[in-house]
Amino acid sequence: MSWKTLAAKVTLVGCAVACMAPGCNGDVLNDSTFRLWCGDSLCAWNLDAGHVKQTSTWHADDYGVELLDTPTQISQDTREASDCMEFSAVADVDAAAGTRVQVDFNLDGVPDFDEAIAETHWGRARLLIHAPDHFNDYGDRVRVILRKNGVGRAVLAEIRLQRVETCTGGRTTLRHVAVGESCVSPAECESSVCCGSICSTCCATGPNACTGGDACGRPRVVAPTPSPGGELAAVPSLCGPGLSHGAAGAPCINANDCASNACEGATPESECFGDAGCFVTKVHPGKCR
Amino acid sequence: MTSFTKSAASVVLGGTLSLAPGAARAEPLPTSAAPHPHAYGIIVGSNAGGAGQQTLRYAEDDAARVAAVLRDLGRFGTSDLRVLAHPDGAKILATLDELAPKLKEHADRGEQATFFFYYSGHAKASALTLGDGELPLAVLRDRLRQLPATLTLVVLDACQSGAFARTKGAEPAADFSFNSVARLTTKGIAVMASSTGQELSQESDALKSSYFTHHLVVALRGAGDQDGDGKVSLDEAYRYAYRRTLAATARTRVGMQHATLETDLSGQGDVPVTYPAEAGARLELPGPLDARVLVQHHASGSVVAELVKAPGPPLRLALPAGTYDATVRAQGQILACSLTLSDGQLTALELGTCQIAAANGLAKGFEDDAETPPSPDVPEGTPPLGLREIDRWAIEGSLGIMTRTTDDAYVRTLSTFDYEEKSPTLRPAGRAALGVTRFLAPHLTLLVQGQTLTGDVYTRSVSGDSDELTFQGFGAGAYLRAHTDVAPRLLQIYGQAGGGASMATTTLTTSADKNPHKTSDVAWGYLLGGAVGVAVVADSRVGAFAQASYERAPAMVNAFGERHDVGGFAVSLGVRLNFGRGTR
Repeated sequence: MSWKTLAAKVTLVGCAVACMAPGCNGDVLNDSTFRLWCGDSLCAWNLDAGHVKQTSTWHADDYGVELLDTPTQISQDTREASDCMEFSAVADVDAAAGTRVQVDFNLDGVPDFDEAIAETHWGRARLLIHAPDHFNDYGDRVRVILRKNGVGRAVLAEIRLQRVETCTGGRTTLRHVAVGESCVSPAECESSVCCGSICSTCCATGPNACTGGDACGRPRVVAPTPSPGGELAAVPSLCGPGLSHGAAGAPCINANDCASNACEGATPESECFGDAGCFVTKVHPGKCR
Repeated sequence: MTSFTKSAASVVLGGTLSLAPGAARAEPLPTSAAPHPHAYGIIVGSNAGGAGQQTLRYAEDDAARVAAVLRDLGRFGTSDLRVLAHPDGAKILATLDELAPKLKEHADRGEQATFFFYYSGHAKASALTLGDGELPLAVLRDRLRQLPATLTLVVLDACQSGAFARTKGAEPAADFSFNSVARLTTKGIAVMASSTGQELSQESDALKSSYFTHHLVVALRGAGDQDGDGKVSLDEAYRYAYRRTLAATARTRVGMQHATLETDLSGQGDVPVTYPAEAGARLELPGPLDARVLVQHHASGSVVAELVKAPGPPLRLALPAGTYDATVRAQGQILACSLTLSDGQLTALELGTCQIAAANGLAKGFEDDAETPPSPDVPEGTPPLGLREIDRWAIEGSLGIMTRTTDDAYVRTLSTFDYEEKSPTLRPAGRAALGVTRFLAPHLTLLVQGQTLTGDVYTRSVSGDSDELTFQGFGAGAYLRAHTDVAPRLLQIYGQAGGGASMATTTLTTSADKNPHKTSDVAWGYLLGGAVGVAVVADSRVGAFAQASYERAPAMVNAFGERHDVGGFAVSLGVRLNFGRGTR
């Protein structure tokens, strides 16, 4: 990393800190006007695919970024996102460019919000983004993705994501939510089962009840040492938890959930609260060996 | 018989004294009862100078004017009045020879016959200078003396010029006119000369004539008719020409020019030269008028009369039918009048139909004279050629406020890119202008002006970075200004319109990496503008004005090709300083 690139990165951090203070117009993106360049790349944006270049906009010395290849994608994890945000873009995009703005609310790599940026020639496009239910559960950070899928011209002069007070319209629906994550509807869950607001593999009753005589229940979660304080986290429901019935590949929390008596990848997260001890706050299910 | 005056005799003898104007007058006879004599004449004009003499401008034109007035008003037949332009001496003598038999026939029949000889051109003490050749005065005198005319009238306008008035005749030494008269006394004869032997005669570029001939012609057209009898006598013509020539030349650099008249007339009475009352078209200046009047032929612009009208009887000028422009300077005002003279009609100058052309100033064409005290701010020795070039020029400056254009494609793009005007929209911009004006014609002035136009600052703050766009417009253009007085010597209103070029300087400061980066550009565009205003005239040199104006100046341009108008509406207050006496 050259000293210039390092300086830009350091500056970016400083800017981010400064912009957390009031007076930043609620911007949650860094370098909204694409002026910070580290060589051929943007310092504040990740280049996920393709190439970009610096391009003049309304003034010869006021630059934007042109998404060159098909596809080209840049992204940025925001700070301090909110339940309601306004996205705006000043751009020169052809319809054939297939330019889209995407937002991954739970940072699971799957965009939950996906909207096309309509053809415009140095006009401003605006849209409101209403975060999914329980947005705060995901840590107030989102990933903003700008992607060009087509062959047309796509120059972005300014991209802003600003916190606003009120949103109209429905909330964004999360997509492909993993077992153990919060959900509002079964459609959000990768398992298509939302039980007790947690994406699960079964529900105690109804069409998603377990077959083969096993009951659907929540495995017991043991908090990590030193002092288990109990369960706080919502734990996904599994068929026959603790009965060693889980076939290979089935979701598991504890080893005794699996017929092999081996559960790989289960990671309970805990948080300690002083004298009250440590509590499990989240459980990422593993898979039976 | 009336002999030469003593002065004349003295001059002849010693060349030191001159005749008083009109000192000689024939015994009065009722000319109205006398039959008009037969009239012949030779009118000679020669611009060409001899060695060391400058070519004259108007001598030949003057000859034509004299011929015209004699034909129109002097009862001269066309064939009997010979006009010779730049002839040689032989031609003049030959023409005399042609006319001599006719005069003799009249003499033989006992009829009166008048002979008129006029010469305008260069001369020296011993000869008329006719280009490369000369006509010795002795020869001319002899031939004129031999003419069997009852009355011989000789008018010699042989003199000079300078920067504006060229001298006629390089050698004013000899008393040309009196020497001539001294040898022409055999019959009734009168010699009128444009100056004394010690003076130079002058031409006037403003009059496009020699001073003397111009005033003589004006006199013959009726201005000299002092007694109002409808005729201009030799004595009246001389008195008028003497007075006006002297007044007009009094303040020239060459100096005063005294016309002279010497007569040796017997039994001719008051010799009429022209009969303006018989003219087809006449202009009447009303009796109460107290003004200087300049009459110019409308089509050619040539000055046909420049005279002073004092309160008294009406003054009637006989002029060819046609359209004329009269400029009347009276009581500090200059009036412009349009006149149409028709045959058979006496047309009165109606001041009520005239327009105020200017006040407290001079108009082109007027010759200053002794009857009009010079303006106190005119340097001594300034050539009295009416409006000087410097009088046409003025400088003016103004300060004001100007509205900004806040809604055009350029500004909308700035808004799209989150730029906002730093100052409140309604706060006007300052405006300063500095220009030079030149008076072109009555009511019309050219203004060349440079001025500031609007400027502004737009800022943008995104993601903690602040950008700033600053611009300032300037313009330069030429405007035609039409103006007229609403209160003479006090208030003038004007309107102007014009165009030129506008310029806008822009500076964009961006703060990438928290390090400001500044870029400056200059852009150009056209400028169109107009204004209306009112001017207050403090005196001939200083004035103030207030005006409302609008300028369109789309000088700024962005990368999208969108332009921003740095013009706007403005109100200004200013001061105008005339370089000279001013032109109002």
